Amino acid sequence: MDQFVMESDPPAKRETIPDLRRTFPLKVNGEPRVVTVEPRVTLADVLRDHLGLTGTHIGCEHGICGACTVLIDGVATRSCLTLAVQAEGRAVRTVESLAAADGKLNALQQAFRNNHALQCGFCTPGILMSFTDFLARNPHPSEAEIREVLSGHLCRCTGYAGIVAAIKEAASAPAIAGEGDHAKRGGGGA
Amino acid sequence: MKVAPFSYHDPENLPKGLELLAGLEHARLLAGGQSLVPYLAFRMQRCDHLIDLNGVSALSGIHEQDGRLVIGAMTRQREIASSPLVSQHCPIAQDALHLIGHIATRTRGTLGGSLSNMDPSAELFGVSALHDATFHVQSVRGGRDIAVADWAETFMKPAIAADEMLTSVSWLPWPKGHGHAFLEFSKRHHDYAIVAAGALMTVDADRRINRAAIMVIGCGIAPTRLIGAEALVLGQRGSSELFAEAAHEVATLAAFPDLFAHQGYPRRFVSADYRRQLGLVLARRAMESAYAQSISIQKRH
Repeated sequence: MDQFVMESDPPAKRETIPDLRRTFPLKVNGEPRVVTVEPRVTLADVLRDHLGLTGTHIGCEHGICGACTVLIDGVATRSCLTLAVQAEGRAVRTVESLAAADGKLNALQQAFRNNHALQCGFCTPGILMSFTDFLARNPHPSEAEIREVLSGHLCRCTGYAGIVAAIKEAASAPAIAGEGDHAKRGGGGA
Repeated sequence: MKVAPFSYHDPENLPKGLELLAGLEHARLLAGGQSLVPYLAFRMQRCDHLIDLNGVSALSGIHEQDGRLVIGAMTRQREIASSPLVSQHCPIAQDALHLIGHIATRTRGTLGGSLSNMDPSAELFGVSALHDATFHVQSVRGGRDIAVADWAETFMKPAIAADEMLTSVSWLPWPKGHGHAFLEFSKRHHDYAIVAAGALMTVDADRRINRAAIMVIGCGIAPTRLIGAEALVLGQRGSSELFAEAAHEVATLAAFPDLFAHQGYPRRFVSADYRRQLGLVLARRAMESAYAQSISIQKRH
């Protein structure tokens, strides 16, 4: 996002800093959780700092790099652009939910491994979550469609060829369809 | 950076939201948050109160009413991009939506948020100009309609009062089979457009243009309808020469020289000449493409 200076009224001076925190429930990877945070805290920061789910990565913090992408009620969303309070009562899915409890990778993750689709892995969680949503809606995408979605993610070391190959492989695997929450629920924005 | 402190309000219905907006000082409305949240995080903007409209379900939805397509301000860009009604009546909106952000931002980004933020590059404002939009705003004092041409007050600020909220937008549908094209140039795929152009066109049995709407964005604080170009092409058969002549209107737009001299605005490094040249080229190509499409559609009928 471009930076530019906006002229706006300065906020009113406060005598004391009020306690603005809110306590609310949400579901994270199927488990009910309760968090207490100020409303200015992003969902990305709550997932990482309050719930210890450091699989969600924070890169640019303004929606460009895609590393922080998670699913909210099955819909791919930038967690750095979502306030945590906005996830009240909603089901959040992070990269930690993809592999089985015994550590067995799911079809999409395995395809990334098969195709050397990651090196440092910083961008990988966001890409996996975007395509978990996308492949559930569109199980047999063309390469152009894959690249279109991938354009919402920045990878600075692996290069995109391996990632595209991995997603093509995953899309041809039967296990991938129905992977996203919204496939059962019908989707829709929050 | 992290967002500065604010009080958070999440009204569950519109009257409550309007009441909060009227009663709170230094309040901002939160729609999709895909621009506002980073603005707040970079501290380019601040607010004491954030009124989150995501719980106001009455602000979402797409329906036909009195011959117009009415879209709620909180309707997500992704929903508009896949709506059969939009595809039928205003398909250029879907051409444009594919150029806006990424899938994971379109799932949150809203029509009303984009129009209220009023970035000079906003594609949906351009689409609204082509479809002769009416913007419906409400406040505790009542509601009113604003024509798309009157929406902009100044750089990134709509002509509405502090207690007013954009609640819906209506677009004038074009007939089935019209030609439509939306083209833009940006430095990176899906980045902000430097300049974009759009055209709608229909032709008669003799391939003469009998209706045209043409606009450019990035050439002013708001989209500019090329009224002269629209008049010039009427009754004519399309050709590269005709469309090049029509596009020349872009070069005459008065707002060009100092528009992007706003403090810190990054696209200022794009010179007026460069922007003008892009406008000329994109407007011509949009007309050519919309014309070719309207011809090929007519062949099939």
